[in-house]
Amino acid sequence: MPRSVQPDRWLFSVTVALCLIGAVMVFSASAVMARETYGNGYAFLLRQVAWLALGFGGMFALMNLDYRKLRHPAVIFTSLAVVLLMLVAVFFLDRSHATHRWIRFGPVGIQPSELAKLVVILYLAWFLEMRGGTGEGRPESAGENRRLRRARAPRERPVPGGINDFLGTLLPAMAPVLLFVGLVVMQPDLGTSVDIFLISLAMLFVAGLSPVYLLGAAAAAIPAIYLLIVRVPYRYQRVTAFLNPEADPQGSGFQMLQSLIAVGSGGFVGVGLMESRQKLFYLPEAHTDFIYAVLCEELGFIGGLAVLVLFGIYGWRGVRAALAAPDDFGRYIGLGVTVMVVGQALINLSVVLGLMPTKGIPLPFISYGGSSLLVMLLATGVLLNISQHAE
Amino acid sequence: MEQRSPRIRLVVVAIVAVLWMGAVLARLSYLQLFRYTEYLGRAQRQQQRIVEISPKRGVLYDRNLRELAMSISVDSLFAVPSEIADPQMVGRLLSGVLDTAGEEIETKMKGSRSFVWLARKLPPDQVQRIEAMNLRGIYFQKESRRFYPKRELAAHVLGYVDVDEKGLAGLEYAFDKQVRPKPGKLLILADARRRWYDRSEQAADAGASVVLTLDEKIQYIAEKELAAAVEKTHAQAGSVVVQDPNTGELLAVANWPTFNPNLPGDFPAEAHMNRAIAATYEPGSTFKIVAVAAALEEGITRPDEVIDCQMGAIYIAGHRIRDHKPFGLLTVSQVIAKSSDVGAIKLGLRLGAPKFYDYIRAFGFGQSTGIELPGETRGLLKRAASWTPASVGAISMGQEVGVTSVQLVSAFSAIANGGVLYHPRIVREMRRGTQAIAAVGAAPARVISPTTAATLRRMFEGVVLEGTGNRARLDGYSAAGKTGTAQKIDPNTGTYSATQFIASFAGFAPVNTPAITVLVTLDSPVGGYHGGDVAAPIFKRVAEQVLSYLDVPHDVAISPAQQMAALRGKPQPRPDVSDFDPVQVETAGAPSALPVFPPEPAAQPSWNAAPTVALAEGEGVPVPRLAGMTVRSVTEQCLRLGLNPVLIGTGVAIEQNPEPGANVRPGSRITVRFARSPALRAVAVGGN
Repeated sequence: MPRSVQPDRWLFSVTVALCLIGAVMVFSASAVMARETYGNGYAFLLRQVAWLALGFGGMFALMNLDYRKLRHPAVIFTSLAVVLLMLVAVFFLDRSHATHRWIRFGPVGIQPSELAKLVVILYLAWFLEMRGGTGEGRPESAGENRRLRRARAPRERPVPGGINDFLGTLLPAMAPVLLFVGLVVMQPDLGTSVDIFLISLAMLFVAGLSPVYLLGAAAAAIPAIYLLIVRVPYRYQRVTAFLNPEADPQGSGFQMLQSLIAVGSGGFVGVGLMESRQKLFYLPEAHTDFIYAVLCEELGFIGGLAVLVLFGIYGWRGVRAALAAPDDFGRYIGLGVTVMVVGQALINLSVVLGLMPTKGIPLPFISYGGSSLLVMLLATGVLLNISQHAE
Repeated sequence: MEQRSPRIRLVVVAIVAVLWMGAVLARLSYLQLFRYTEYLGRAQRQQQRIVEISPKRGVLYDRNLRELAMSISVDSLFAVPSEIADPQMVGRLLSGVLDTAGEEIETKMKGSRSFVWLARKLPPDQVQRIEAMNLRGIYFQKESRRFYPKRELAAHVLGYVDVDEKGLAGLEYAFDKQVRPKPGKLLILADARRRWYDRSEQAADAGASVVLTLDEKIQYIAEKELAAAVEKTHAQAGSVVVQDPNTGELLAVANWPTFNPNLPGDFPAEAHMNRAIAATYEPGSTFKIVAVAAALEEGITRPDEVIDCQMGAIYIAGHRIRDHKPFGLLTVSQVIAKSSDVGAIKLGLRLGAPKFYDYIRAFGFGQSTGIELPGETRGLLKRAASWTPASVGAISMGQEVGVTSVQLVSAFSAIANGGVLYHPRIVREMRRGTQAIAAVGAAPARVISPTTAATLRRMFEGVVLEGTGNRARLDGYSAAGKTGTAQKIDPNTGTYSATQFIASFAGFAPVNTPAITVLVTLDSPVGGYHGGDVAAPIFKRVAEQVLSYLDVPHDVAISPAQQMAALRGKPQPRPDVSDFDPVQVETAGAPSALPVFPPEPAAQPSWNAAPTVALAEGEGVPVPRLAGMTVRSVTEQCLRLGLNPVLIGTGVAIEQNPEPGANVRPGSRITVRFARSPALRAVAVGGN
């Protein structure tokens, strides 16, 4: 039996810290806008707090639920099916902004694409542990695990070619992933679909995917990029605006430029909490995708660095938990969750700082947005559970 | 062995993440630390609007700290067009109050989304009416506006400002740097929808105030009399300058034509000219003081020396110069009194060009006086080396030289005060906060000895007593002066005009202890053109009123007519300025209708009142304390007690004889001295 230790305190503290920073910044960035739109400056803060409560509830539940119980095919396939259903459903339920992202239950709305990330992680972890790798790293002591594997895969040795068996492993592994990615692209939400794809790729890579496939994927991405970016005018504009935001400062370059102005004008110590001026309608999406710009403006380099360091700690503890996981399932989930959180954070920061073209990706734990927050906290709950099963 | 593969690959992913974080950190540092200033500037450019607010200028005071120019708070109207839903309607509503067409207001509002002035410096009634409309997006901002409460009074000295309160003329221009404070800034923080969420004002630094040497009331007397004279003589222009000969301070600088500095644009440019310092003219006979003063000082003549005036003609270097009247043998005093040109020329020739030139310079001619006003001319004075043989003669009688009124009045002051040339000054001190900095003028310089000056005073008194200036004789004061009648040079022909003259009179009073020097100049009067006929009477009117106002004690008997009038208790035209308020006067539309001083009942102006004799106690009436009382109440109280008041001066009682409490016989004389204010008394005493 693995030693039963406490869940990682670092990971837990970092998550709580990021969520608190997020709540404060959501309030700061949204108060004026909320007062003008809803007549109540606390509108966004209250919703964020409600989602936080829900998210922490979920996180504690999953933290105390042995992650190995998720390894059951019923869990995996049920969640896959539910998310698939929801991803399809949005096309019929939500026609609000020419995009189909939301499923609303009264005042509450959730984005199935966020759930899809978590489900993809679970599925791949389960499938890759079963099919991929060498199998030698798997602890014999995981009795339940062993029984399961014997039931599903009676071979004691890994399948020939293992992870790199295209038909046997790669295709079934990626089929649901690509299905999800395709559906999310059609919403259209390129950012999240790229995110899902990258998480999958990272998991496959760690599971031993041959670099040949990575190159192949990159080659296959070229026409996809062409079709999805160059041929879609608003995305193409984002790319050109990223490459030269000054070319059209009032149009396509506006958001990029305003973000840089916000960050740059913060300086070392910032203009002070709640004092951001860029949030006063200069900076679009100030409380969601560009909340980091407001944070950098108000809290300066010190604040911006603090957030970066917190995500760094998250990554370090996440990788540590994955490495110490008693089995491949835990290792893959730990990796997937860490890549999801830290990768998404890095993409968001890169966008805000003008290192990448604009995407619709929120900053984990900090940006306003219930679904994202909930999924991030649930995923962290699983990661925390894994961290207490360290070998 | 392969067991390690996932671990290695995990570390590879971690390394990729660390590198990425490094890139993000580098970018964050670059933006926030290296390009901070640039982005801060960009942020401020789009977030802030800066509107400059015209500052509150310092006050210009007269010598008694009465405001001549001040800045008052007024409201300016501006719009924030992005907040206005229906600009057309707003334009129509505002055009009902402002004198602007609705379309024009509408066009203005299209000029900007965040800020546009609609009307600057509005009168209060318009502000109230617009405020009552309670329009969204229409705001007021306090600004300051220059206001000249006394309107035309001393307009040329004060100058004026533009709409942004920048001094354009006069002292407003000369002292613009000191009087003008640092401009205030209105910083507006606007959101991306161009709505304001914050305003902050950068307070303006108050400008320094300037205390002038002018006395508002003397200035008023000078302007009033000048205007009356111009109306009577139809002169093209004129000026009256009043100077304190003992300090060089100018008490009044009046010019015609004049203008209202509140509305400088409504007057032609020539009305803005401060002729007293900017107009050069050939002085004519008034300039004879230089030749005579120099000859006396050099000891080459005496007042009683007899000079042959050759029956009105003299040849110099082939030019025949004719006197205005044929004179035979005259003493030097008579030469001055009768203004003989031939006599003056002879004195000038005796001096010789170099010496004569030095004296002309010493009296301050041909050079800037250093007065604090802009636009002063130096006058015209050729170097002695370039004088023609005829020049000495011409200059002796005031031709071939150009002078300004301020130069001439200062030269006369030098004779009045005993021979010292004070440079004319218009600024007494500057005040910044509680700090007062006295103005320092150029050091006075002795030109002639006190003895020569005394001799000259006697001679110039002769001009008034028995010469060309007899119309300058004052009631109750001795006076001295010199008339001047100079032909103008016709600009078309370059020769002397036969019809256009500059009539002038320069003089001072009282003769022995001069308190004021006055110069009157009239340009091209119609009809009478002799200085003695047209300028001397103005001197008389101005001098009498100013001396009375300054409470200068009378030194000669007042005329019998005045005495009779006083005895009968009839109202007499006294130069009363106690209730002087040009604003009120002019709003009433009758600038000439000065409030007449109430009759001074039973005031017996006896200047040599015999001291009253005090009685033994218990007899007679006790003398009351009269200090601080007005003329009327002193008179009433004395009459009630059966005392005979002898009143000297006007204003409030400052001195009495006998002292309060003494017992005197009923019917005794009580001598009471009155004065306007301690400050003025000081000036008057200084004149003694």
